[in-house]
Amino acid sequence: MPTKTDEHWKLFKPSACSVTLKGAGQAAVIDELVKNFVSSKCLTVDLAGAATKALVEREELASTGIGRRVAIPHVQLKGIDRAIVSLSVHPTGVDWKSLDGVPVNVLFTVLRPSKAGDAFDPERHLALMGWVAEIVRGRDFCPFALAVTNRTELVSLLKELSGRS
Amino acid sequence: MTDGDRPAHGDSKREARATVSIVNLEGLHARPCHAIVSTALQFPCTLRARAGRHEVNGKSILELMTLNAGTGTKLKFHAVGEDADVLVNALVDLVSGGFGETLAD
Repeated sequence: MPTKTDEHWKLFKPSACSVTLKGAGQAAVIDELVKNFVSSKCLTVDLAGAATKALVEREELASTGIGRRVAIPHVQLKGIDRAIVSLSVHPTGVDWKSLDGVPVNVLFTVLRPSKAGDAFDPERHLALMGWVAEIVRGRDFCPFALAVTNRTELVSLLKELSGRS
Repeated sequence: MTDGDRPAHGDSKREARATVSIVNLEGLHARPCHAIVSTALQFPCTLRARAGRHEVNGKSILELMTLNAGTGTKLKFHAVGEDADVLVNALVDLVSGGFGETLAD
């Protein structure tokens, strides 16, 4: 896992990301997010059900909508040995029951291992989440993410913003 | 489990400060930040949170997440306004209780 703050963007595989989420509600969007992980081979198909269930249950516990039209669905998942991440855009917005009541257009999704190991350090996970928060706080982030036309550009945006944070 | 230092009062209950250590294994990740903010939003007073030299608005999940506060970090809260002491007491209980999560050894 990248140790430097400006290298967290390297975790994001364009094929796991999306600029065209369409789901009308949380459950449908979570389905899309997990399908993208599977189709990009970041997540094996046998773990898709567990990932979906964990993400849905996490939202029932407390919304991961953090404001500024961004949500960070994130859960522990047994069966993976490293963090699996994606950045996705929902162009029309979806209700995520955020504290600020505003629909979400951008989602950082993180599946992390349930145990520390060679490829996963809980402290680095905290640093990853802190990095996400810094990226999202930037005035440019949401407008640029919404303007991006493909997944490769989305990851390039993260790389560029990492250099500024 | 570590209990925090309870609020030091200003001239009235309109200002309160406290320091409390993070004791849950995963530190101040998104869910604890949400718990702090949803508690703080019930009060009209302002809230600042500090970890080390980094101070943020305690009513912002995003800003709290930038503290990167892991287990053992001392969190300082400073509330100003009506019922500041009630809020700070509630936050000390929340943090010292590990946000209901697995505690560090």
